[in-house]
Amino acid sequence: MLRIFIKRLLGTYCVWLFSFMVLSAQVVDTTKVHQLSGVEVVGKVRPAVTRESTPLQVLGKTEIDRLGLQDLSEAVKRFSGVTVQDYGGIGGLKTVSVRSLGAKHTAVSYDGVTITDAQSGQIDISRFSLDNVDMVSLSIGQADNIFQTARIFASAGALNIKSSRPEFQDRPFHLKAQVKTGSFGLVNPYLRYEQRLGKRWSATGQLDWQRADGLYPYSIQNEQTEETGKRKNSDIQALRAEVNLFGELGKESEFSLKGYYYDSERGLPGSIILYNDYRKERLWDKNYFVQGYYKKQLSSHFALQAQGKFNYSWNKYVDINNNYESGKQEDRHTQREYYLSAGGLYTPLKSFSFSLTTDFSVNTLKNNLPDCPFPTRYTSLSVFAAQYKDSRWTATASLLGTYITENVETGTKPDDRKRLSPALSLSWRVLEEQNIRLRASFKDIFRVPTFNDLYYLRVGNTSLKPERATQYNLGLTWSGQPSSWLSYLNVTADGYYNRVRDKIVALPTLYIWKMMNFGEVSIGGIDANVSAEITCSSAIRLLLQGNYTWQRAIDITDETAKNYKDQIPYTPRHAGSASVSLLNKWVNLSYLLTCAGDRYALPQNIADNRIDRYVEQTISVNREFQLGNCQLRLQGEILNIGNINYEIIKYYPMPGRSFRILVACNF
Amino acid sequence: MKTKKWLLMGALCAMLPVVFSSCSDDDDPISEIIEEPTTTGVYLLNAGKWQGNNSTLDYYDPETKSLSTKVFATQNGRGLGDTANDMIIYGSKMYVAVNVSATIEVMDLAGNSLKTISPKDESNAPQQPRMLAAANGNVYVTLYDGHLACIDTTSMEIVKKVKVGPNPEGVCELNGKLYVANSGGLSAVQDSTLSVVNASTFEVEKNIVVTINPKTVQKDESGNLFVLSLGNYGDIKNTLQRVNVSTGELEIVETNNQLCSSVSGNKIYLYSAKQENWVVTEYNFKVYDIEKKSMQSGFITDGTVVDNTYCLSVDPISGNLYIGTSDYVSTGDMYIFSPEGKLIDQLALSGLNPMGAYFLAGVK
Repeated sequence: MLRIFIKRLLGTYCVWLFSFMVLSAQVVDTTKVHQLSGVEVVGKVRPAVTRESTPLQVLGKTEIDRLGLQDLSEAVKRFSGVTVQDYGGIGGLKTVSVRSLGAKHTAVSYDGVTITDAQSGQIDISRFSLDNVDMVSLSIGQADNIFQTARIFASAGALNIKSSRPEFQDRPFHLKAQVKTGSFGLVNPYLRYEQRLGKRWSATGQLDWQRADGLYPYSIQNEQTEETGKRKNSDIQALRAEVNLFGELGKESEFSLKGYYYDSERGLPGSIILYNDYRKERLWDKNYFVQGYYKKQLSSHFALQAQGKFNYSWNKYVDINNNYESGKQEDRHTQREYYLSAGGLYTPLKSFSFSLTTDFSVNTLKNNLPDCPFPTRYTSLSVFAAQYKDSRWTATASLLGTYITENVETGTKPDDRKRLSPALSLSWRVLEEQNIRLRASFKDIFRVPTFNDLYYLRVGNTSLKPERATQYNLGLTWSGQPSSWLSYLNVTADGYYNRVRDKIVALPTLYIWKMMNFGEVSIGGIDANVSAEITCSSAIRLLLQGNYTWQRAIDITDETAKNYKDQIPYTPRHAGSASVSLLNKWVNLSYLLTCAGDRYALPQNIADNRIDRYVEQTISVNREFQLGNCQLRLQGEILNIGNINYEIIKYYPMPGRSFRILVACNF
Repeated sequence: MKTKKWLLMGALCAMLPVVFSSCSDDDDPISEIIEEPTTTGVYLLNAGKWQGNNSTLDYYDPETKSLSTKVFATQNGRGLGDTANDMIIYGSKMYVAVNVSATIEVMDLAGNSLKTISPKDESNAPQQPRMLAAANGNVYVTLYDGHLACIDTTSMEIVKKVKVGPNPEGVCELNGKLYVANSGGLSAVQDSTLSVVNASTFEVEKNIVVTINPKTVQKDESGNLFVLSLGNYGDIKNTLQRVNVSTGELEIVETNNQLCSSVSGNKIYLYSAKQENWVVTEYNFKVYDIEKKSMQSGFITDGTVVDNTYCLSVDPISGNLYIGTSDYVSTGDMYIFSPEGKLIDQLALSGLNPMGAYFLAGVK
């Protein structure tokens, strides 16, 4: 029973919804990001991470390019306080857990609208390419921007992806053509076209196709024997297309519309099973969505915004296996989401602002499994937030009200859920003349049981309560320019404490499993980030970034259990990453390092469950040329230079040393 | 140190004449001299976690009360594999059905692997072994793709296969017939039949209808057949039934939310638990007297509390009851009780999800 359940959990992964973003009516202070040798030297706004009253980490387009990051999971691995569960390979599932709260507590938003999967509750971030991404940011707790959708308020952490908007300088159109290729059969052509449509409108369209066979060699330890082999059935083929329309309607209003399509087929290599390498599981995904955004500044005191989205996602899982009477198992799932959000921002005084936002969504699930109850979930989220902000203080308070009701065609339906979730945060600039800030925040949030938790054949349990998470954070930030050769230095350090209650877990009852609210986790930790830029000469700059996370995430469910107070699975005590980039006029060079300490694959912290620590190193080089009207970019990476055998998830070995080359032409 | 001791023990065991009854062809036990039989060693099999590659085999010496863990890995330098589901000791060999690895490990009595059998179907896809039985010089194994296979104990090869029902689990030999529990566990609606296979022709003779989702098949010393069905996880609960093999009549012995049973001699040892909202609210260890048809509750008499029961095995010689426990998360424990229900020993096993205790018999 367990096996079908897990298979299907993996098989049904995620769903694809998307939407929008507003980079805010009210970014009060911003830092400028300079590009060294781009043609589009445009000063861009981004939030100053040291000013935020809750931890915020940002990677912009320039950094993404400089470090050679190519999918979202690679970017997220540069952040502190997160663990990326990476099942290895290009098509392998990758999810993000913020401060050990679990992937289901992390919201992922695309241009302001969260992507949801009501069925599995978690988002596979490997499906996002960074090709057209302008900024990736991770906020923990409640971000300072109060003019956002209510859904962004409804999670413990939010990973935000902001796609790039076209900027036209001389030509009314841009064309970008790019090809990536690399080890294990990776081929990825990409094409993007941007067109100015009159004075106020512009449009973009892009298409990208990716394939890889993923047949990488691995070696794992089987007691005293080393087992080597090649990953099987880990091929992937994916097509992504996106169109955007941007407009300014009158003076103070803006509008945008996005259409997105994703279609993929992949093999599911599964975990390495000793003595048995038979793998015939495959997964097909189709996802499209349309999302729109509208914002109007009614007066200097009042702004309105609205966004909406329709999402369709479908997947098919096939397992060819003689254990099934018909020789195969085929599961098909279809989810739809209808989503609307509307909110207002009122700023009566320069330092005071209030926002009120309401989201409404409908989620449906259909599948071909026996006893599918065909659930429909109606969710209403309303948030009221107030903020005070001056040069020394930022104080934010918000209250989120949730109401969820569900209908089922057969079987029992869960009770309606109502809940109020408060969040508070404070940032204080300690000294007038020094950019040193203290910050403190609190958030009480929860996640609702997913459709799988509630209704999955035999395993689901409609009497589940939401899983609650409480977050406390206390931090210190400092930024400055201590000497003339040091262009900037940013330091942040945060200590935190989280508590997860009524954790939703699958519990065995001798012969079958059932989803239950069972479990309590206590999480304490420290996140530290440093970034600096050193100017060696006018043409040579050195950029340094580093982060470190210490976490003690222990299971305090049952005093008599053998894993009482043991570190929860897949959570290293120590983890960190660092990068050094040398920028010059010849060739830009970056070195990246990611490391994680020992972890445990199962809840009990015993040697048999241990996954060894690892260090992964990557080198990225790039150079840009001007060829007539065309700006040519050449980029290459050597990943896992040390050819280290390591696992993030036990028995899902990660690739060894591999290569990637990128050629891009901007016209 | 531990290893050395174990090796010595193993060698001793291997030399001892084993009186495991009617077994035959290859390795005929030489037990001419009638002496008091005794349990010389106990193997404890742990399935581990699905997809964890962490099945282990532990060894317990009931005389010295010492436990040697991970014996298979120690002896062979490699692991048993993924989800070892069942084990049998027969003649001079031991057989472990490793479900997810799709192998049957054949070992000597000290745990040295003699052969790894990897059953394959016509398209060369692995067939996953589930449970084992032995009779007349053969070992029988159910294959989850709907087959029963016969292993020749001398050549250690599968010599015959017969198609039975979907997802077969337990198998038991009784009077020249093999009774196979067809669970249909991966189907939308589970199966409710036993396939009756003639042991000599190796053909299915008929089906017997039992309670839905049969799991284990066991016989007592007088030739009664007992089947534990898991029901439909809904209104039909776990059900232990006596099956009249000639008339097909069923006689319910016990029914509850959770049942675990082991037949020994003319008794059935039972773990019977009641659940409310999927939480165990009440459980009992019981002994059923098959002849008197009487159920005796409260097997444990010394007040020992045993939660999370996962398997039951009875030592056929001493009558000691081995109760394996699991919370699915941590390594299991094995509680050993005397026939009077008093705790003899409690063992911290090396793996998760103990599947049972398997006994080596010898003479003093």
